[in-house]
Amino acid sequence: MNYLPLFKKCLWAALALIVITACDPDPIQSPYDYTEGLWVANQGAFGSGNATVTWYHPAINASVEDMFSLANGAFAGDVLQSVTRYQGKAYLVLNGSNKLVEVDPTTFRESRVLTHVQLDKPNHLAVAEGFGYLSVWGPYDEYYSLTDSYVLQLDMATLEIVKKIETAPGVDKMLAIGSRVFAAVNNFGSGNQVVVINAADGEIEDTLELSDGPAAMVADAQNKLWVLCNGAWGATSGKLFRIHPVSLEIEQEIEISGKPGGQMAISPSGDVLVIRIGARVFVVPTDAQTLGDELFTVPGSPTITALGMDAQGKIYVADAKDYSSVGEVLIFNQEGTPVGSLSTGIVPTQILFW
Amino acid sequence: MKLLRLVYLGGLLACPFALRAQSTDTLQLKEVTVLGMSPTQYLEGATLRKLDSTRLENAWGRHLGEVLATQMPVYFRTYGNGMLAGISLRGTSPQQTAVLWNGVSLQNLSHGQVDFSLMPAMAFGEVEVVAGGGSSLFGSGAIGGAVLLGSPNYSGPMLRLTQSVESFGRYQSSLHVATEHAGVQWLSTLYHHQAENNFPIPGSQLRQPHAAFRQYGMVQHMHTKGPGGYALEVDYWYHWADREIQPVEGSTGPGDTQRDASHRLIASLQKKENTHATTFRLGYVHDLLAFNGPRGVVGRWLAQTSLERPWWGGNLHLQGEWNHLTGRIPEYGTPPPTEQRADLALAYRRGWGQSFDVSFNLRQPFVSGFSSPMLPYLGARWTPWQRVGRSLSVRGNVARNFRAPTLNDRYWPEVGRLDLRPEVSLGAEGGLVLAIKNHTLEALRFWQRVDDWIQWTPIGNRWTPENLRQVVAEGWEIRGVSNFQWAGMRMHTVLGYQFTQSLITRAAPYEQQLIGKQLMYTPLHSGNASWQASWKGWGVDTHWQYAGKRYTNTDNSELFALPGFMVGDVSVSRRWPLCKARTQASFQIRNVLNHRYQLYAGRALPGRHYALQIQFLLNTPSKKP
Repeated sequence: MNYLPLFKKCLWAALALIVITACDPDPIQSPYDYTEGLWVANQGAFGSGNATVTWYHPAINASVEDMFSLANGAFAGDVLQSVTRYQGKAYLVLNGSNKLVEVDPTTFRESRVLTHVQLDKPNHLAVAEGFGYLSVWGPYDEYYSLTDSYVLQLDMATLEIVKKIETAPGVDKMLAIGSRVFAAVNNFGSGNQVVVINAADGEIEDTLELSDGPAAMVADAQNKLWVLCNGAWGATSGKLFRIHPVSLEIEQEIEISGKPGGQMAISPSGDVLVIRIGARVFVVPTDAQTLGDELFTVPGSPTITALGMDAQGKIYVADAKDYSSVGEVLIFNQEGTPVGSLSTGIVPTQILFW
Repeated sequence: MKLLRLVYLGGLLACPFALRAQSTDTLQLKEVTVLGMSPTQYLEGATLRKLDSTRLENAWGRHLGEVLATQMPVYFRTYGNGMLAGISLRGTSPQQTAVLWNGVSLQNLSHGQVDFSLMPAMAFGEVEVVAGGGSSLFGSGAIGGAVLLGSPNYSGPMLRLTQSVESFGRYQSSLHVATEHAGVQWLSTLYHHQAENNFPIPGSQLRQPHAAFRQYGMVQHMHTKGPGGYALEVDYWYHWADREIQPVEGSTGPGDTQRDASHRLIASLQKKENTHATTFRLGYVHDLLAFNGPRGVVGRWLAQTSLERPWWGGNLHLQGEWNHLTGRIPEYGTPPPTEQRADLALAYRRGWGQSFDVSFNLRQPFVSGFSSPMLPYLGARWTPWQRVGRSLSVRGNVARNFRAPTLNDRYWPEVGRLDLRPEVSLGAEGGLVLAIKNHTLEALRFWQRVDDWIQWTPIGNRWTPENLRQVVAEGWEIRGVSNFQWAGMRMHTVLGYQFTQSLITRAAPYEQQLIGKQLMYTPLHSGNASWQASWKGWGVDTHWQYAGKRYTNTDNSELFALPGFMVGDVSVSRRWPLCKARTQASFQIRNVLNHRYQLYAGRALPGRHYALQIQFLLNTPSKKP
């Protein structure tokens, strides 16, 4: 029997297999307009470099698991901490990869990347007066305490670092209101400051001392600053502050009985806050004097990592599950009745609406 | 024709009776019992894979994980080139494979893993892998199997010097010296290994930052025999490593560093008599790990005693072992937690002629703080068909195995739980082995159920260890080995394939969606192939590893799955005599297909690269008897 033809066929098959397996997939053009619907920023599994940004359009019930890898052929990086939109661009802050990635929000194609030795565990970006203000944790000491945290002032035109603004250790969330940028110093619950930065020159104007663990900030319809403090490690209560953005006076202070989660959302109209204590979700009008009763309790044993509210008043609750599975965003109507859900990437950490 | 077949079949059936009739004239030989059997001989019916010593000698400065991955279907979760490498054997986790050096467990008792990247292949003389449970012999952690390591075992006088130079500033040097003086044999091994490790990241314009490492160490073996059947052996291994932790692909900025230093000392006194052998061993293991600065040290004193003697036509081995652990990890606080662990074990093996062997083992561990299960093992091998150069064997075993919670599981501040139960498994396997001259074909089926799987999960804001899951790992394996000689050329071929399904079958109420999911980093399909040929001092050697798609998160998302890969190395070597010495030079191409692949998500591995190795051997070594 002549085995030569069979041998040749096997050889060609092996060669084809090698060629096929050696090829990397090309990026794909998405058919959707990403500037409608909502985005969910997902940290990814720590140390695995698989941060993603999920897109979902409730009206057409369409979603894209990860806009970034679809457009660029690879994941954005490690531990996506936040996404900030500014002047037709979106900026992804990758805490584990120590970089800031600029993408075109319509295609999610990467356009610029900022890497620098000073980007040592960056967290959140706020933009005002043409400058970006990026909170950076800085290095740990040998006992994993933060020792040198700061805010970097960036020129958004060139994406270059202009200035380093020293803060107390653990500066985290950032929010721009008018010509000021507010930087919350959380430091794993042991910080209690909100640093006020003049956005035009990057100088610290004031430092507000609030309560332990400033964990989330939003601006309401009157551009008032709301700060949620969720207490130190082991705390059993928290506080919610309303602060005048110009005078910096504390206008209102709401005691929270029970340790709130570190997430807070505000409705697009800016008149309703969403916070949670454990799995209990509270909807708080900005003119309320107290927290009131919870609207609903998220069923099961969720690991809530982000909250959101859309223009129709629907409440979005992100569940990171075991921090290794893909997460889920649960959608509730204004009465707190579940009306849908959305599969996300690993550890959903921020919900953004268009 | 049909009648002929019936006659032939009748003849075959009559054969045993005919043979039995002849047995009255046969001289009955008394069975001779050999004392000092290796532990694996008490694992009759188990899957044992011995690593070819030639492969170890030509390991090219590789660590043991890199060598094993090309020799058998085993997967390593490797966090970058030369970085942390944890073994996954038969669908289990890296904490569920025991690694023993000269009989002493090397598992880091704080986190339960063994980092194979800290185990340079040239530091060992014998490597044997027991696939499948072996807790009855090897104690805690041997659920997926056990890797058994021995010191280099040449007798002197001998000197071997090896130097390799590789891409990306990787250099490795080793020196083996064996001498014998006044009846005492000495074997010293020194090694040094360093790498810049700044390889171009495949598919990127960047070079890998922050992945340099340096390791050095020594292994000292001493052996002497005294009068009255006494023998003394002392083994000491020191290993030091300092490395930059390779960050996730595309990451920049400052990174982590890690320093490891280990001392392992074991002294063994054996007295062999005609009827029995007794052994007494004392040892100390000291593991230091400093991640970004703070140093944690886990120390362990151990004492073992054993008796081996013939009993009821077979061999009986009785053993007692005691371990005293101290975990000086900064997070544990002071005083450092201590644990007492003790084991009582018996092993028995008996053969009936040359066709049937049985072994039965039983072990009862004792760990301070919780009750441990009794661990039986029953295995057998039957060879129903045996001719000159040909045989067919059936083998199998059933065993119960366990893994004690680690010190982190029990003592991590605020979340460690002293009430954790040990992981307990029940496993079985069976297979067929067909040997025809120098060719062997083996097929086997395995199954194992692990209960009380310990998992760290977020509860509120805290990650807490819990006995959460049940996992069933099952599959089958086929392996062929061929040794062939033709026209002065010697060829050795190994082909292996394993199908491994490792599914979560029980989970906590809040993670029911994980039931039926494949464990992370456990490929359904894995395989290996190697081919070695030598002819008149020339040698060609190629090794290949294949792993199918691997899920990297618990719910098996396709988006995050790593695609399958096949990588291989090819080397050419030339050996020639030089005065009384033998010199060998080898050139190797690694990842010859320049494949882009990852063994752990986000951690780059180099594309095609090269290595050159020169070995100088004075006096041909002879293996210890």
